[in-house]
Amino acid sequence: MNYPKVLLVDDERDFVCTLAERLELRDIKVDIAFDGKEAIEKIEEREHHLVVLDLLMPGMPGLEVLKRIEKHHPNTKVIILTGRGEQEATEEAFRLGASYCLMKPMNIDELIDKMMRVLRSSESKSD
Amino acid sequence: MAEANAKELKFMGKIVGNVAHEITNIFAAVGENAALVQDILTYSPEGTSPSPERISRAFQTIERQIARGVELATRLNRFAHDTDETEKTVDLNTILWQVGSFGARLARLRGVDMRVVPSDQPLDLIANPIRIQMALFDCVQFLLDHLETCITVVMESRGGKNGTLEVTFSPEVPGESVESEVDVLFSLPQWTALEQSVERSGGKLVSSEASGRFSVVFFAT
Repeated sequence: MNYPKVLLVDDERDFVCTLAERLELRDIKVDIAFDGKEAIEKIEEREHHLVVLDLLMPGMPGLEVLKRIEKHHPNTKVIILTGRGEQEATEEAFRLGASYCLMKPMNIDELIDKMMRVLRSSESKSD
Repeated sequence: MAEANAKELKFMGKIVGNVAHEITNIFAAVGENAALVQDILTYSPEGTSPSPERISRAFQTIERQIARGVELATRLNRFAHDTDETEKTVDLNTILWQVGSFGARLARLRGVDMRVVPSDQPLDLIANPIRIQMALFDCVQFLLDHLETCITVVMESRGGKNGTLEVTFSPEVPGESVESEVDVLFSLPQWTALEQSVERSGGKLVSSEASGRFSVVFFAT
């Protein structure tokens, strides 16, 4: 597999930019989108292996982004990372195909562990 | 009466839920930036100094997020104390800021910018502070739900004619969509529900059909 392409999607700029910086310090390069529409545009222009997606965002909500990814980019995996505690939303995300749901604030090691699991599993399926 | 109380409880739940979500985001941003400082110290190549600019930037973000949290907590505290009395003297300008603050995230999630323009005069009236906030919040929600192309909502308070106090809601909708959307706005069943919510707060809803603008009018006491 080539270097994995990861997209972080969150409208909380201070949070997502810092998370990207921390991942890069661990040699995990990521793209960033600040809302659902920008996320879809970035996925359309460049296939991503993994999207780490917030649920509540301006314009296009996370669940809608997830639906579109599942429909048009079935090889792209999704991890939900949200501050929203409603169980229905996370259940719906799993139903739509999300691999994991993590709650903010999260531990970066846990996030990386889940990211690696997802990427390894998609790599083994494509072999 | 029971129905009115249930609506107030639902409204308070919505406000507290939104604020809780905001606070989670603040904690997440503060936590990430504190951890970033630790990471910078840990991951700096041996023999090199960690970048002071990156550390300073992280601390500035933490300060900004803490200020955001303090502002939110202050408003939530004021909101909690608004339940102490069912009727008291309230300043409509303060109420306007409060509703603007709570409604801003809701608006932002719909891609709508919310602007608050308070009067430069104090606008005191005796009212139920929770009901008045609920009514004004319902007005914001009504516009967000039914003007899909709306890009800005301006909420303005002022002294009106004959000693009345007013809060005017002015939606800004791009070009051609104004007429088609506004035509139906005031004939929706939800408009009638909004009229009832405003009446419970002691106000009266007055529409200005040409622009989609409407006002909540209160009689000052």
